[in-house]
Amino acid sequence: MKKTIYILAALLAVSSCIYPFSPDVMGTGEGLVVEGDVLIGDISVFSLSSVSPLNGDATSRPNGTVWVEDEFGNKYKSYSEKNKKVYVDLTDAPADRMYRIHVLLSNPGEKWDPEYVSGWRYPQPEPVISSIDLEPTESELNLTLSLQSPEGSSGCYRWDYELDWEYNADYQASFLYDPDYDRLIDLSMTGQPNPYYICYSHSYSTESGLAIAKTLQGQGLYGHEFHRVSRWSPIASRRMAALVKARIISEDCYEYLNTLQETSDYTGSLFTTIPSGMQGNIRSVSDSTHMAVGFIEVSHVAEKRRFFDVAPYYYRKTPAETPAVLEYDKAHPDMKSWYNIGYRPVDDLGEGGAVRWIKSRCVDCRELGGVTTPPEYWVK
Amino acid sequence: MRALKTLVHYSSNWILALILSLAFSGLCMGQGQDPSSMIYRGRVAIPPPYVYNGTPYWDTTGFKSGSAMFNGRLYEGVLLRVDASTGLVHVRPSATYAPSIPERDQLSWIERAGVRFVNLQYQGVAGSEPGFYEVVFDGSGTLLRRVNRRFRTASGDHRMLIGYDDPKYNPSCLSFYDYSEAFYMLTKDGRLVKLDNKGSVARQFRSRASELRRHMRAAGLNGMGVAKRTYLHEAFAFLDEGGPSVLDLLVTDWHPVEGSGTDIRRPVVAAPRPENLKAVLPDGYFEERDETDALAESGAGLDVTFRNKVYTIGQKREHPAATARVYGTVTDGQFDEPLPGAVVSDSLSGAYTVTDAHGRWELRLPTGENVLNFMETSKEDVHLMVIINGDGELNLTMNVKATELDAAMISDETRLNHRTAQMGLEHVSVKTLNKIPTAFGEGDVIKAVLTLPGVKTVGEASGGFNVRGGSSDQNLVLFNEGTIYNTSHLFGIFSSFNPDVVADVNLYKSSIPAEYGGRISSVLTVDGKTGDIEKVKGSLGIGLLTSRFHLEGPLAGKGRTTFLVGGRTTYSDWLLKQIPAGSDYAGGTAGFYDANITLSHVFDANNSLQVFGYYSRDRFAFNEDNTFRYANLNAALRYNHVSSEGTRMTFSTGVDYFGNQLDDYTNIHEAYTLNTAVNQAFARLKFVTPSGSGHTFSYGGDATVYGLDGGILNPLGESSMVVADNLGREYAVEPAVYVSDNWQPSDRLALEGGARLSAFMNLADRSWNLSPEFRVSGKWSFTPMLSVKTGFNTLRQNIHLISNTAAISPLDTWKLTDADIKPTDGWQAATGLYWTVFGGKLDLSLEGYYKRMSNYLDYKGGATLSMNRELADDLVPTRGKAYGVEFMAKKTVGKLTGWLTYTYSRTLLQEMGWRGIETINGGEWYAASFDKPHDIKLVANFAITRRYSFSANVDYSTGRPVTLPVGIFSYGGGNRLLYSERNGYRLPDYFRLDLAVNIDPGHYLKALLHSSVTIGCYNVTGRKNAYSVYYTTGGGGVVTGHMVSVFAVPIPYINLNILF
Repeated sequence: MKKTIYILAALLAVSSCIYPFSPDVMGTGEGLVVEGDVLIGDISVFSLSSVSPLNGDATSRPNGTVWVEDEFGNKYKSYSEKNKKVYVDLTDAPADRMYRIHVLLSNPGEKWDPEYVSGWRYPQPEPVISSIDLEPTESELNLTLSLQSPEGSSGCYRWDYELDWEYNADYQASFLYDPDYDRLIDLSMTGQPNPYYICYSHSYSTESGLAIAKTLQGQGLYGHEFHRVSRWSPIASRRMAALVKARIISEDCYEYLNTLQETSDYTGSLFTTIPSGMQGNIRSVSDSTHMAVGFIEVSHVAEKRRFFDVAPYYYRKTPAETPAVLEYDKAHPDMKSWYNIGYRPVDDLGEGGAVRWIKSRCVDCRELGGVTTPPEYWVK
Repeated sequence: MRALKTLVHYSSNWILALILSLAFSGLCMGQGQDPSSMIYRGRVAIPPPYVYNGTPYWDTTGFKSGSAMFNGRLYEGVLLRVDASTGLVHVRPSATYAPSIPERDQLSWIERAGVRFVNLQYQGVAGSEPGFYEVVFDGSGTLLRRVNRRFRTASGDHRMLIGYDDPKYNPSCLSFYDYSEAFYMLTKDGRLVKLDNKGSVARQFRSRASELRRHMRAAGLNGMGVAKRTYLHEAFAFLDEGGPSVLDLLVTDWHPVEGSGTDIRRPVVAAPRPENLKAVLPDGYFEERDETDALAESGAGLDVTFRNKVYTIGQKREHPAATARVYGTVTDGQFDEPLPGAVVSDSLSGAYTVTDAHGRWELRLPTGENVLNFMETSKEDVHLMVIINGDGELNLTMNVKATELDAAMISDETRLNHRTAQMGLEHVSVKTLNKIPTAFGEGDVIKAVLTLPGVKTVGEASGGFNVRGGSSDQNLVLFNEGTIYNTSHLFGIFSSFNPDVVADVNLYKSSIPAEYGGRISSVLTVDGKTGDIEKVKGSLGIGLLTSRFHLEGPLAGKGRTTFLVGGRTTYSDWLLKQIPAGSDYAGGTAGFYDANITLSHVFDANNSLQVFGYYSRDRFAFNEDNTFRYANLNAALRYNHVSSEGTRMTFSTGVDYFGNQLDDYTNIHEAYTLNTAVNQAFARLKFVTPSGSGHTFSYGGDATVYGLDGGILNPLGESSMVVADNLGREYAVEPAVYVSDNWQPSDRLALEGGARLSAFMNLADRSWNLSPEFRVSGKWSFTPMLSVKTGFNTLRQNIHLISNTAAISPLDTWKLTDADIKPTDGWQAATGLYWTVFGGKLDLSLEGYYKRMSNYLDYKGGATLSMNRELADDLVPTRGKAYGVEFMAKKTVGKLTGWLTYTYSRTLLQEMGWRGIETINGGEWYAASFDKPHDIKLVANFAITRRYSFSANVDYSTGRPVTLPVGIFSYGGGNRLLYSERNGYRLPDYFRLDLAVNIDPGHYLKALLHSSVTIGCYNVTGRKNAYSVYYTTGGGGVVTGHMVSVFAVPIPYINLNILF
């Protein structure tokens, strides 16, 4: 009977199926893409790219430069151009005027016009990051964000974040191996801590967060989840810091970005919004009907960092989960060969006992991508 | 001794056989009816279906006085006419009786207006044909004339050929029939010789040929231009040798006289009264009936095709009115329930009507003698002789056809189609509905409607339907007077209607009657049953996903009050809970239920009241973060009254509600519940007044009060920081008045015209509009089976569905016209050709239409439709055009029934304004989401036996338009897609084949339970029809397209229905 029910339920659930779909679409949609925002009081970063054909090789990449100008004719030019990004310093830019960007291409060709500008916009007010919190669940640590904005603002937010975390290797080794002299160093004799036990690592948000809070009290965000960390992850092993850079955007900017996000997550169901393009605010100087893809907003950025001691939430591996351990005498002639195949000494089994060797990643935190030097702002 | 024993043995057997045969013959004779009345006991003479040459009779439609020798008895002073097509004689004792057709093989001869006609086959003349021969001259050689009919396709004036002086002569009728006359000579030795030409006479009288020629020359009859009849009559008269005539010798009763042994029946000279007739006719022949049920003892045993009783309707009055109201109920003898869709007509005035969803009918007929005809496709025709004295009721039971006739069988639908000017009206019978295979096997009203030409859907498992290029919200769906705003359950897999409580379904696609308004595409009326008046009965249906029941019957014994309750639910929830926890579908819930209740009370023959209630609720959740709910609630009351003058009045009032709710728990601080709702109250008053001159006037008015909740937002849970918001309730009033006339000046021409004046006022901003609407249509019948129709409609819609999805989503809301949102206007012109062929077995139709719409709402890219106080800013008015051609071949009689349709149609939209580069598709015309140019449907049902039938359903259509990505770029940390122009591409074509075997209940009338089973398979070919497409972006910016199919495998099903 149960099997019958399974079959029936499976019939309902799996009678729908998913298949490849490769229609012949016409056109490559090779538009110019300009990404970035004018951030008053901060460094603005812009990038130029183009729309590529689906499943085809990318066409030629646009080259050019971007600068910011205010309504009074002042120009803020890029000071650095690397990794295909243009950096403009607006740290001292006043907030009481309108700004826009100006793009000048060096290789417009037939696909793009030589110059583009965005619409003039006043800077959006600066939000207040009221709190960054940690909410543990059974398997994860959820980072949440609360934002407030001045009265009369749009209630639309955009943010990016960075994570720094301190972690340690699984085992605190009390021995080090010196490959130059083929000898074991007993750290208890030196009085120095194991230098490779605690490391620091860093990550950036891959995609900007986006939220609208028009229906919430004070048009603020409350406990809005922006990142999740697994409790088995080394990020959650000791101490973590989250830096959030948030800004207020206008409602039309929010609609543009949200539509872009939704249509890219389009499932094509009969109940999902029919996708359609949205025009940004970057137009060609010579022909106002030619638009580039992108929406340039002018904002103030607020940032806040908070530290979390996450060690109590960390699910540490039990000894049974560690890789195989070698136990040999302290001055074994094969130590170098063990070292070379990735083993490191960790501890001994007592006065005069053998030394245990285990996989290097269990005792050397650097092997998980971190560094032993903390960030300069790190608070222990 | 041995021989004696043998003789005794055989003799004994002979004697025994003789005694038995005498006993049996005596028994039969003893039980035989009085033969004196048999001439009037034949079939009822009904008008032939074809009118050829203006009259189907020998010369005129009128009866002429004469005599008839029937079964050895001479009936003098009777009224006779001869059907020229069938060669049958119609006889009536007097002008106040309906004619009957006596058995021809009992008729020896007839005399009519001094002309005799002889039945040669009765006389045993070799080589003679059935029917009568006119005796032109009876002497030593008898000259006979016969008229034969034949099919000819030649056109032109054939009056000379026929030789009839027929004022109603119509050359076009000769495409069906033609007449030819032939002359014969009957000799004394009983030979029948055909006289092909004038010379044939001389050959028969060779010895006197020269003499004949001289005589004819002298008489001036030898030349050209002399009528054959004139020549032959003169020739026979000349050649007559005197003495007994041929017929005197051949027909023993050629000249019966008093005392000759022939029973001579004199004419009834006075107007027949029951007591007079009783003296002539046997006891029990004529029974008086009162105005109550005239068929109380009809039973199922009578041969229902040929009733041999005369029924009196109404009380006799000293000064009877010229017309009377005759009404009643037709019951299906097979299922003992009201029979909708039966055509009721009379033979005198040509009035007709169709029984409604409750089997009721009504006609205003001239008083006096008449014949009432009852016809329904699957039932034996019934023709009743009646005498109408005054208003009265006549109830009838119609039984299933016992045999299929080889002669032309014309369904009631066909008859109506060629009679009325109504265009684009599709009727779905409940029997057809239950036989169309559907997913999971349950009969479905909307799925049945989708098999009709011109009706489409955007995809499987989608609610709503599109009629002739209109969107789903442009269809007015009425169920027992209430408006249904969401017609589907469970993502469109099931419709909102329990098939067990549905009596009748009609869809108006083009000629929408003036009484309906408020939507610009179509009107779907679903009438529910009101309950069996005789006994309590019900049904129980068990399927793979749903179960349903219904119960109906009289309240407090057999009487005037009936009830009906019905319910349906699904166990999909319970099934989904059995899915293992690790599955992607685990934790999901989906379910629905609906309930119907109807109470009906008949106060008297002129007054009745019905109360309706309907409630449905859907709930589903894809995961733990969101729950969706929506519900329909309808309550209505309808009062029917018939005035003494015959005017029918219907008053209905009620309330409708449709609401939906979304609960979002994704973030406990942002958790909310969002509600929208449509509330409306309505009142309708309708009058129908038939006049005596072929007009039927319909007039009335209605008013609807709307209260729309565009959005109510509330926090959900204590931690939620959502600020409650309410867009406010939008009130509006929409009154309307209308008048229409249905006029049939002749059988060929029918006209329908109506005007509707509606107003709309939004009480919030006081904006208002006035809209005159026109509905005209006409029909011209070239022949009774070939008609052309044309029609034109204008309509306006003031309530709009706010949706930017391809199909109606459960969360869509509605919006009223206001100062910023204009009403949607539309007009449609249509023309159609209708042709019934193969003796009425096949209906062919070809309809073309062209439609325009303005202010049809579309949406900007990135439109915010929920809780948007400036909704008009995100809406884009468009103009639309739709055109198409629909071909349909429909067979409604016979073992194989069903229809095949092909439709070519387009629906295109264009933004009305110009918003620069944001204008949709640059201001060009683009395909609507339901634009599917080619559409082929086949619905077939083959009745293997009376219990077993086989059903098939084929559906093919062009894939629906879809917007596809044409490029990819990186933005905001992720890969983004650049899309083509709106609806610039299409999904793959759609094709589906469904098969089913239906096993109907056995005909054990005394069994308590009857069960029927349907076993079938949905999507037999397992075609992976596209439901949607989506794209995923992998590493390196590679974009991969995926197509989702809902029913990608054959879905077998079994459905059990129990009737009790």
